[in-house]
Amino acid sequence: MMDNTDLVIKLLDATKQGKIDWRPTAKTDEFTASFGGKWTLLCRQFATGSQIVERLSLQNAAGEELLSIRDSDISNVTRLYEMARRYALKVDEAIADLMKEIDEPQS
Amino acid sequence: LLILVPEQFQEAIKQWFIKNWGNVASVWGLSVSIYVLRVAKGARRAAEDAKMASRTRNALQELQSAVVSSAEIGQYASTGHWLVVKLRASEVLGCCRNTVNRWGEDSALKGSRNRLNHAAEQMRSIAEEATQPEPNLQAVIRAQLDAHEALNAVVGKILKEQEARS
Repeated sequence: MMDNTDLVIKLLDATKQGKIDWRPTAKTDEFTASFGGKWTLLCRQFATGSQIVERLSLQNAAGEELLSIRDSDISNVTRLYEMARRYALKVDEAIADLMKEIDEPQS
Repeated sequence: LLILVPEQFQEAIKQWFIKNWGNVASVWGLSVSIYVLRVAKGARRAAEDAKMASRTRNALQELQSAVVSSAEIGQYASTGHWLVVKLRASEVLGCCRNTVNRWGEDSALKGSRNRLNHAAEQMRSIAEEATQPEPNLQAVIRAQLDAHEALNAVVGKILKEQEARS
């Protein structure tokens, strides 16, 4: 049987390299990416009681959930969520813009 | 054919035909079979092309109506008609999933499955958000525009391929 840890690590690497086009959905703290023409990834953060949970799910083209991994199963899911969020919300570009703005002389 | 042959060879050719009529008939039969096979193959290809064109036309019609519904989602969300937003989003979601599952293997749609899956997922999130007590309008509009762009890109691609074919 395939190890889910390998999948999460592979997704982390692909996200780091900008190979996965994460996009924010209409729900707060939820990001999605479709690839291969068959699969859709969903990475979300939500609260259960006093706990904040990150969850990664994989769906097929019919919208059926094939896989659901929580951060309590594999800790790298939290890292993946954070990277997906940064990519989807273009956080790095915003930081670069902000730094450029700070460096420019005030008019 | 024999009339065209010089008289001194006519008898020899006649004899040759009498001796080899079986072989000549076989070659003739083989030629006819090859011709019939080619015609049948051409007819099959034409029938397959017509079937694919009809499928693409159906998919295009459904997707065009999904584009209209998607645009309406933005309008209804802006005016706070969240029940209609949910219904329209479910409609578009169903259309995207149907299109991928029914026609996803067609050449016109093969490269568009990611976009359709993405639009479907955005519509799912819109439908879910619309049921919240206080839906996030900004996030819904952003998701709607994202899905709308994806749907339009697919429709544009199909139209372009149709134009190229005709």
